[in-house]
Amino acid sequence: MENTLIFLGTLQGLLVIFAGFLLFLTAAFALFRGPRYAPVRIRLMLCISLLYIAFVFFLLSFGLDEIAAVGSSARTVPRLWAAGLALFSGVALRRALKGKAPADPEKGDVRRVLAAAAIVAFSLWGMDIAGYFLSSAAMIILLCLLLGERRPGVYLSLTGSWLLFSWLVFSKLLTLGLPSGILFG
Amino acid sequence: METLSHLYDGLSLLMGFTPLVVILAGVIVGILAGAMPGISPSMAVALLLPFSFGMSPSMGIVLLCSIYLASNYGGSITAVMINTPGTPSAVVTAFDGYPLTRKGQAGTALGVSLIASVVGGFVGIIILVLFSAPLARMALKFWPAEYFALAILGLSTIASLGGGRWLESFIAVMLGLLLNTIGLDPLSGVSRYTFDFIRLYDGFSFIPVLIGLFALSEVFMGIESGEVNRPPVLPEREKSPWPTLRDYFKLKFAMLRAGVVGTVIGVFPGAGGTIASFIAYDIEKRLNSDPDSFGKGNPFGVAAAEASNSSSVGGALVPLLTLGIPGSSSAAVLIGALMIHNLQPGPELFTKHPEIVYTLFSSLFVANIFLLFLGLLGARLWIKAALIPKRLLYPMIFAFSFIGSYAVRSSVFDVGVCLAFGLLGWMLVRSKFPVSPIVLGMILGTMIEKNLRATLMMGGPALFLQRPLSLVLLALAFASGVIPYLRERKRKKALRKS
Repeated sequence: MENTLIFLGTLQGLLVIFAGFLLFLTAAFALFRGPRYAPVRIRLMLCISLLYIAFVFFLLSFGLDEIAAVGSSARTVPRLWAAGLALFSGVALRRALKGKAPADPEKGDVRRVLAAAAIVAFSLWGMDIAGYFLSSAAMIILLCLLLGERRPGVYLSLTGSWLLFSWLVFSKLLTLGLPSGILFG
Repeated sequence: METLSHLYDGLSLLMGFTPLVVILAGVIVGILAGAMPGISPSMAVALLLPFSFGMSPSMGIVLLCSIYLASNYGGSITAVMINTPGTPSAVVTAFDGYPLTRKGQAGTALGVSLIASVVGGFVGIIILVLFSAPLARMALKFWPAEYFALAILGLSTIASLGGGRWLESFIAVMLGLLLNTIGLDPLSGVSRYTFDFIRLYDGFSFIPVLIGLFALSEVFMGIESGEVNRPPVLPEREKSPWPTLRDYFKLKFAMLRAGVVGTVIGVFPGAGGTIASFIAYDIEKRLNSDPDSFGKGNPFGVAAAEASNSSSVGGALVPLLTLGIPGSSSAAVLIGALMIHNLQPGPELFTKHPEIVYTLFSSLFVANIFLLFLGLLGARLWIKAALIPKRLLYPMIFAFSFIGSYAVRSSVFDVGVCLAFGLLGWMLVRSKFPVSPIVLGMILGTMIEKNLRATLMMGGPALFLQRPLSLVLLALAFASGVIPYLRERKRKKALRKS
């Protein structure tokens, strides 16, 4: 048990925890597939995710080093908050199952949100390779296009202005060391 | 007398070209940010935080407080002119401000909202100056048990003020507290939930979390709801005269009353300007001789809403500066700013860095005067900020978030944290979970843990009950946590009966 907890506390362990989360969520989704749960399905998934988080924090607290002072240790507080989160998430889950929770909001343009997040993540990844200026320029242009700006003059001048502004203010005035990337570093 | 002398010292430090330019820039940026629908005061302060890095701690804090103060007013301009509140707290201003504009009295609405903002701002600042130093002196005598109880009271208040969403608020607070345990244990140095990832040894950097939760989550919400495609609303073209001094004088008691109400409510963690303006508006409506005219263009409604939300700024700074507990989301961002400048908010700030505290107080007075002049000169100009299309504004917010998160520790990892918290915030907000309690939980988590464990080491759990103030605070925390639950049960029972 102790070895398992130590393993779960490592980076590989985090991957296992994440895989477990996906499995847990899939199982919960299958369980609440019926039309009865349709109006609150997202809320149910959210509550279940929070319960999983509380469980993981509680479980991993057993693997924390114990340097016990009088009456408390590094394990005390995480367990307290994990128990609290589990309790309140449990109540919220029960409410949702009984149909007492507010219905989920109407689904909007989730794809566009995920695409925007993906562009930012891509730019983040690119920052170490192409440097700050190139990756943020790409991010602004792609985001403008995603959000419906079709005039090249507008989005190019916006990008150019931002680059000039960030170079002047952050790089020169505030002397912030912006990443130059492997290509230009 | 001592306070006045400190204030004079603070004021004399501001009488130079650079400090005045910093305040002026803060006020202009604050008004513009407040006037842009979708940019809340907390978002404005968080996004512009990196600009304070190159400044001295006092100038950095002065800049951010000026932005905070002015953005609360900026929201009212668009609320009055195009019925689109630039900030959540300006929603109430729109109740009567926009009907006045529709009646051809835009000048009256703009004038009243500006003067009420300034009067409310002054009321809040005066109360802040009068009460914060004695409160800080009292707080210096606190034991860990009292600090723990105070922090718990702070957490429970946010849940009770969440209204019908008390359960979601509690969940969000718990999540914030739990996330705060990531990193090295503050007492023993044991590594907790870091997964051997060195970047997590200090826990999540506070600013990226704030930017993600307050700025990116709102942008994601805007993208999802299709708000990004909506064309900006054009303001009414007609011109109308501004009120006379006599008109303003008629509103004096409404402004003062709302100013006091706003300050008192602003003191409570999590309450902020929005709740303050709703309550002040309701009080004014009850006291007014013509309550039926509220919502149809009554200047008293505009005055109450604006005075209260501006005064809540002073109120929110009271617990922040004296106890290290933020009174609003924007105050939570200011805590992050203070920490970046190696200043620990709390009673010791008054003893160790009085010059910073009193420079800040004086700067708020100056910022309020600037606000008055800039409001008088440019009300019709500021509204142009609301006309910036979201498809151009949102990429800029991403760019600011990007650089703001990076700048704190020069870490790309922190930008990833910002994005992750942005997505988390979006998921929570769309399911009607508030995000401010997560921030409060993350701020108060360390304070709670340190003082809980210190008390347990000093005398065990009994010490919480043996210290009278701690007992009272814990009882208050319990009551404010339980009352919303009981109130909701009562309301449901009444509904079932009817």
